[in-house]
Amino acid sequence: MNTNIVEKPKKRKVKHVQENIIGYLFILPVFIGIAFFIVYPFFYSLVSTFKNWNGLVPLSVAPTVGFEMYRRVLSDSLFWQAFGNTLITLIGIPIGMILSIAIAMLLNRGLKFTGIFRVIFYIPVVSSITAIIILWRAMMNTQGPINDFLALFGVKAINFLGEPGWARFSLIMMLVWKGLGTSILLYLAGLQGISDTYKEAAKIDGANDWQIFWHVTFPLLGPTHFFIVVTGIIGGMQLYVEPELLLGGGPSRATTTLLIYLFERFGAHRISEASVVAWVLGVFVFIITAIQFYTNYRREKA
Amino acid sequence: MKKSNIKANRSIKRAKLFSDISTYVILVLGSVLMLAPLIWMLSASLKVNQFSVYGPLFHEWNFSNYIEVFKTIPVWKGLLNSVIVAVPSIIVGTFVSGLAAYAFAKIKFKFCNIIFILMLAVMMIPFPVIMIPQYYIFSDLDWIGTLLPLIIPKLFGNIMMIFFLRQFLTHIPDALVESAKIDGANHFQIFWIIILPLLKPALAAQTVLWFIGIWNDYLAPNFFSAASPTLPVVIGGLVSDFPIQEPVHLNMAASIISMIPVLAIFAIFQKQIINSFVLSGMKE
Amino acid sequence: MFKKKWMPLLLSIPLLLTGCKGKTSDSVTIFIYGQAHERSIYSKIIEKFTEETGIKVNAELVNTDGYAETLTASLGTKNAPDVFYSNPASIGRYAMNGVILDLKPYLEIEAEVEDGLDYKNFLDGVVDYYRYDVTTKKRGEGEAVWAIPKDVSSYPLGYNRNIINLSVELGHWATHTKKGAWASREGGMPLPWENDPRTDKQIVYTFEEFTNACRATKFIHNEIEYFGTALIDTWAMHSWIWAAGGNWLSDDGKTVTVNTPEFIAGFTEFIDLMDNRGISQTREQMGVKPHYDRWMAGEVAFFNVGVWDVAAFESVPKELLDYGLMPTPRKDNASPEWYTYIGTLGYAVSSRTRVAQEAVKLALYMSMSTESYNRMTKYQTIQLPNNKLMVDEYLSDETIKPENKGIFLDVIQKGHGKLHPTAMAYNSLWYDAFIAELSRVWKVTDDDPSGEMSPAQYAAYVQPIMQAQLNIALADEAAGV
Repeated sequence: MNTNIVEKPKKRKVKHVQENIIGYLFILPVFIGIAFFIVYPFFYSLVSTFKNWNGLVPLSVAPTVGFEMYRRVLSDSLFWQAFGNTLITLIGIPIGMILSIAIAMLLNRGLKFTGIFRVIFYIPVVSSITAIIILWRAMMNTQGPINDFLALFGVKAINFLGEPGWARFSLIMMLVWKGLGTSILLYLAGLQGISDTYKEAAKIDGANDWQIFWHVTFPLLGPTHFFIVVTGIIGGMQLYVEPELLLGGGPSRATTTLLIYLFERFGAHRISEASVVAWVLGVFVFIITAIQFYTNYRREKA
Repeated sequence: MKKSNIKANRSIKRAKLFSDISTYVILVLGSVLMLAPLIWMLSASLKVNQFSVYGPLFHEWNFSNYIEVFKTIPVWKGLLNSVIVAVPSIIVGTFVSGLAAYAFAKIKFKFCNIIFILMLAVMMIPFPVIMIPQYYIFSDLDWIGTLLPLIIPKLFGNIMMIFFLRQFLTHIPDALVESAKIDGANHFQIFWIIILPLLKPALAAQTVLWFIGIWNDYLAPNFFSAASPTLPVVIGGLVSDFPIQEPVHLNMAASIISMIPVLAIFAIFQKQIINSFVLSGMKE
Repeated sequence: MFKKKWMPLLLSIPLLLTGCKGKTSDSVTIFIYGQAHERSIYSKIIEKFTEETGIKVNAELVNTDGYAETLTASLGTKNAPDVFYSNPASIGRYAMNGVILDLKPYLEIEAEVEDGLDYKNFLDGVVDYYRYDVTTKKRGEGEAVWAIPKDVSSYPLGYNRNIINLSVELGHWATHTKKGAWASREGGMPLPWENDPRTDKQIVYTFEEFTNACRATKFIHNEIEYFGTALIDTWAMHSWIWAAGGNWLSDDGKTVTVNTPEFIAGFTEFIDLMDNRGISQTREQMGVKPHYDRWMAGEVAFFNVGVWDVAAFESVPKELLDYGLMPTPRKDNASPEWYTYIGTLGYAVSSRTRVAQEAVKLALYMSMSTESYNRMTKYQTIQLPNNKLMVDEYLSDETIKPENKGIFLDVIQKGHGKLHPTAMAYNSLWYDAFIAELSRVWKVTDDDPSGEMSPAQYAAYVQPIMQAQLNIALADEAAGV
């Protein structure tokens, strides 16, 4: 009898240790991958921002220059121009959100053929980005179908790709068009998660449709809004392929984003400056996301 | 009494009909906006030269454009490379991610919550920050220009997928795992025999989404492996190959060719993909 | 049994994964870019090289996009290709960091070898573009040769004979050009392909005379609108600025001189020509149909012709575009100088190469051999002959168009060219800043009073930005980074 009582806790402890070991074993590959391919480069890149590294010699040989690289980048008006250009493209996020909520609500009515519509809206999302870019370049040509369409209304040909203001517009339009499908599906899922009882209660209280939407539905979609905005900003700040292939970062650098600016430095062997740009971008995204998480946390507590 | 009821019913019906029709109108309009560019692309890909591309829709049916594309750019090579990257990455990466998700969800090992949150934080690191050092790491390993930089990191799992799978697994009762343990199964057996089949719906959607993401990726393949181009890189090359007098008709044909594999897979799995958005429980 | 069957399959997987690079240790790797038709020509030249010398070549021919990043990242690592492109700006940095070889000793060896190509036969002065003195940090000086020239090109003007003849026929030419020095000459100013009676050489118009010529060729006839000129600012304005005596950098290379009076004079003259004299398309019209397209449709009288343009221009029917070459304008009667920019690209050899002599041999072959001359100059004019020995043949070969192609070479050999600003300093980011917002000086439609900024204002605005970037480049150069 004595032996039994003594054995039990030991067995549990051994079992716990065993559990822990297996747990760690299961996540080991992921851990190794993250450590080697993400964390190590992360710190490597941080170190490179404090040196003047041109990539032609090993990082260890490059001279350490303190904050000089930061000074160079942050005092370059072209850097801030790229920053501004990148922020401008974020306008697409709210535009996309408004359009997708509207469409999701229509799809949520459960009418016939909803399934087909869902697929149709998602097709641009899965299409290859390079194919889409080539397509839009051809379409936005001054002799292209979009201008033809506008001509039907007597509108003069717009130089979508050659004029700075219109170029930004075209870029944002293309991004919204491509991303609509994902947001629609997310909102659809969110809408279906809203229990009808809330809407019923509001109706009984005498609210009309708009009030129901604004005071019940919209707020209850909070998590979805949150997800879309956070991922939208993280992705939007890193915009590269679209402005580069569609417009070459132009015209007159109107669509030169931070990443385009980064690659320019990289190609000129100013690797450290490129790393600084990446870090500034990363810190900015981190702060914005942290703020969002915080406000979201506060809101959920209320 | 009855009369007013009937009247009320009729006006409610009319109101519903009106809103139904307007819903359809808007949805159809929206669909047209979504599809119109793609339809134009199809029409343009069949034109005889880059000048008639801007002519009326579907006036010419020059299918030889597609053959021409295969002759001009290395489509087969791109296709093959894309497959070589996608298949091993998904097969191994999904398995690894599944194991990890199971560990986080069911094996309550020490610090598992903290580690999970740290992992999510890592996911937020923008690619540009690590891209440049990754290049030099790959270069030391002699992997630049090959497809290895695209494949190997993915074999170690996909954080986003781990996140979604873990969420899915939390909906599966712990009792299932407990009873299996009592029956003497170790965790690996539990994972392989019990959990994996249960994960099927979530896995289907996640793997297809991951596949589409890998397939359409341009940045990493262009940066690390330009010498072994994947399909988007091959297509992207068309943009700079003919800066003046672009052969738009051929470009359109090439784009369509590159989109077909993904659209096919999407068409087959679209139910699973779209349902997964609901399953993942965005309502949290 | 099991092993035998599966071994080859298992062993081939890593090969499959590595994308079958096919590199053998004694072959030369060359990594260059080009457009589709250029790449196929390079392939053929390389094939011939292997045929003639037996040296295997691993050719990585890509298109322009992404070349810079891929190359940048590979230099200094063991993945550096043996032969790759470099321009006069980058060789300084490469040389100082030891990633490229001083090719002089290898070139000397090649010159001695029987049937070997002698680098001294390059067009005069071209090899100097690729010299750099690592101690004094001066371009164009020093004993070392850091790259082998691949091509040199210039950018003179071209005229559309049809439009000018039409202008003469309709009397516009006489009306607009019978002024100044030609006030008393029958028919006005000599036509662009005619000789200046004062020098007995092809005429070089002054700024004012050129404007007159453009006015004379801006008219509507038979419902076709003709334009005097419509030039691409970023490539053409150099001629005006240099002719006016200005330059982007000071002689010592330390100051950005875009806000000097001479520079602004040439800059303003050019912008006026494009926007304010009614002889060119408006910028808005350009958005609808670019200058290049109009020239190719035979609607523009004067347009730049680069060496690489010849093939495309030749393909247009003569009734639309019958063109020839002419010098760019000079400032006035007191200054005879006219300039176009000179562009050049070279082949550098990685310092990590194990096949240096073979690499140099390949680069020389790509650049100077008869095969390369035939394919890149004779059959299709993609570049000018690099080899002095071929020049006479080039000039007298009537199958190579255009007829007065000698002007291309005159720019390079007779001092009518200056290296493009991108080659003037350690890197070109300072110059990019000038081009970046150039459209702010443009006048968009005829209704606008002017561009957002005048050339003088733009120069004042952009100079500090450019200077900041130049200072960075100079600092890096001084530090040898």
